[in-house]
Amino acid sequence: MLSRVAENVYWMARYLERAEGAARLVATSSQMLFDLPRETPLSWGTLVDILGANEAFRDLELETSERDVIQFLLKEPRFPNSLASAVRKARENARTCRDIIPAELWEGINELHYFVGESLPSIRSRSARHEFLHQTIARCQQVEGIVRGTLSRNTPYSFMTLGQALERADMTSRIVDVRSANLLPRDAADVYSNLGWMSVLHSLSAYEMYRHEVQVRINGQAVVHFLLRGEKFPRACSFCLGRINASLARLPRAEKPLRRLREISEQLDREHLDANNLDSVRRFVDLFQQELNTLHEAITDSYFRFNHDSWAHASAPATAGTGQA
Amino acid sequence: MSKSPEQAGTKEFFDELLDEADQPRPVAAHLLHYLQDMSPRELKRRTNAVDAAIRTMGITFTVYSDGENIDRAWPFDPVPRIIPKREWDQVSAGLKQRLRALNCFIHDCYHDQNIIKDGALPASILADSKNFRPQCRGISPPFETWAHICGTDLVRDGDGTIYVLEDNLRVPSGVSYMLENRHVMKRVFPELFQNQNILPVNDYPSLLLDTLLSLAPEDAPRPSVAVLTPGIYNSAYFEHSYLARQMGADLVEGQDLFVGEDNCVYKKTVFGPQRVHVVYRRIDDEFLDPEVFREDSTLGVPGILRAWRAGKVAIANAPGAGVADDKVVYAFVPDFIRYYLNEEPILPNVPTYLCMDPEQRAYVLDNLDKLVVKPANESGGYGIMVGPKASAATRRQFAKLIRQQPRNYIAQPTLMLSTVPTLIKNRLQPRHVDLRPFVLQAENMHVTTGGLSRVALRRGSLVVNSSQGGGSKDTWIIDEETA
Repeated sequence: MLSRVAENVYWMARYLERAEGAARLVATSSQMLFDLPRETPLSWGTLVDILGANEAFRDLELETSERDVIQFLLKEPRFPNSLASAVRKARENARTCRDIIPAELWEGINELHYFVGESLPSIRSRSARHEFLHQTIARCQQVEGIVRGTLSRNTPYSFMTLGQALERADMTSRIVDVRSANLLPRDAADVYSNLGWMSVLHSLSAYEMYRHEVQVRINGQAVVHFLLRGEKFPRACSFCLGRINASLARLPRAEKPLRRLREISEQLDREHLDANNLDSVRRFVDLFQQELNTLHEAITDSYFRFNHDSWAHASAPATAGTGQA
Repeated sequence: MSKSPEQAGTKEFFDELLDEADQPRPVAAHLLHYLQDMSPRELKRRTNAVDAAIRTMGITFTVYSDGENIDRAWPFDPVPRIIPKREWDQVSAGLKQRLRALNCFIHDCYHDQNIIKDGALPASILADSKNFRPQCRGISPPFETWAHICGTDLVRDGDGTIYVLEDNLRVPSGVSYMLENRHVMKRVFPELFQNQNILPVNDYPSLLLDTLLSLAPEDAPRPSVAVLTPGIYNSAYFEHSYLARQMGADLVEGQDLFVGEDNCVYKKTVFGPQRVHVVYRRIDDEFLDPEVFREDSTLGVPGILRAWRAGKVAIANAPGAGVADDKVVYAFVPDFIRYYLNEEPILPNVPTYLCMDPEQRAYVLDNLDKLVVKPANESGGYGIMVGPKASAATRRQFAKLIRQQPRNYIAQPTLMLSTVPTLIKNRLQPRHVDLRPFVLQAENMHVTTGGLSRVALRRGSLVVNSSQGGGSKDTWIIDEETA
């Protein structure tokens, strides 16, 4: 598999997951909002903060109103991580690797692109927004289903899984952050606090799985552990790290990224996580995101930056792996 | 469905589906009755389905002037163009004959140039050729074949004769649209394929792969083929990607390949360098190898010509093959057929006036209002003047250009391109078409079953290029004898 194409496949999967993540993020916030008493102020600007997009947001001279923030997160073409931008980039990357992905997958991404482009301009009400997010998530999942159901478990699949799992872990941590950051006023009554965690679970499609696995009433401590350290739920951060591990293990020359991954897991295990102390959750999440970045760098270095020096016998015919690409 | 008034009485042109009395030709009877029986509403539903299929399948092409919009939906007309198999067999034989002669000519150009020594071609034509590559002298590619993939443009004139308009043997494109057009037709009008013997077209990718594999250097037990594309912004990127996918070959850009000290070509993979044995390049010669041709090319692969000369990699079409893709050389192809093959040409050329010849130039300059003037080395319909439609100012400008660079221009009579009924605003109206079949030559020869029919969608227009507002049609070769 060509290094350039591997990188494109990896990013295609990341952008698809980012689009779905953006939809889930906005859905979570909206859900929380619907549950709150009308007079409770909700700080929409926090969403921008959670996505690490303060600078881009400021440059566009937007306000931290619901309208502006939602517009920014869903539509803004100049914000590279908006839902619309992510879908566009997923499609651009898919286009450059159409020769190795099934036609159905390309068609699914293409249809998602047209759906988003045609639906976004007409979203004015909250109910239309809800419907749009719901459908976008469903279409992203359809694309994921095509990947699972039609792609051979070879190198492209490994890179796709890497991209998806890495982005998903990152997005889950950010969605947990919606609740732990100061989106809700600190002094919100307990009932709303727990309702907040419930909407986090719902927006990650995790509610039933949580109920089933944890079997205690919804409380912050249990939810945070379920989503950040859970080993079974497919959107849980630890679960995603497990998938990254399994994908790397199938790739050649994975020593460096695997070592990085081990270090990250050990570090996260040591890190204290107390959901009653929201600052501790925030710290954990920040650390996690930084570490994911270093993992991304390690993957990029090993596979995408084809470096002649790293091949001792660059001009000798490579026999290992011939034909597998 | 009703015919529009302008359908009748346009018999100065040959119509591919209707005879002189506007009645369906036998081969088109089934199709036209089928369309006539269809309600306007149903027809509209089908054409919408065509648009949806093209969009979903992502069949696109790129227009350079279109800013950031790098993909436009492929303009497709659902009324097919039909040719009886008996006629097509003849055309097909003519196309093979022509490409064999062209390959003999290219090989001769880079070796003894006997055709010039024997006085059958003026020496100046080669001496002034833009696409002659001295770097290719003395090379003997496999099967002495240089142009492995040729897209030959055919047109039918008013009297029904099929002429060769030009031979595209640098990086001809369009074959993917031929294949996708059929795909769309089968998806939207499946019942048309039930009751008649429409010959299939979909073996082209396998034949292309066989052709490319037969070129691989002998030291390769399992040859690896790569399609070399300039990248996503190239107008034919859709096709590059399509063919790579259909052949199971890697779609590579110049940056994905390098030439090692052993003169072998390698691709940069996540497993490390891996050898490439055959490169189906969709990049012009000038950009292929910055070590040899344009130094500033970032699209090419430094050293690939070295690898080719050392026999470590096959390149299709071979560098230098473009010497025969020149509208001045075109005028001599019937002579090539007689000279190299000792046969009479099966397919005629369009009469061509060479502006480099003083007498012919004088005729061209006197008759600019009747002729089509073409630059010798352009493609895609750029830089052409259609005399009868050109303004006086344009004609003056071309007269000046011809006097300045006579070798670079040819002129041909304005042809009465044949028409095919075409769906315009839900009505059938005649529109002009041409046809580009693709011919393969290496160990074996193949011709596509039909080809890409391009149609000028504007009324009266003769310009069929998709870059200039043309569309396309599915092309059916129907075997009436077994129907």
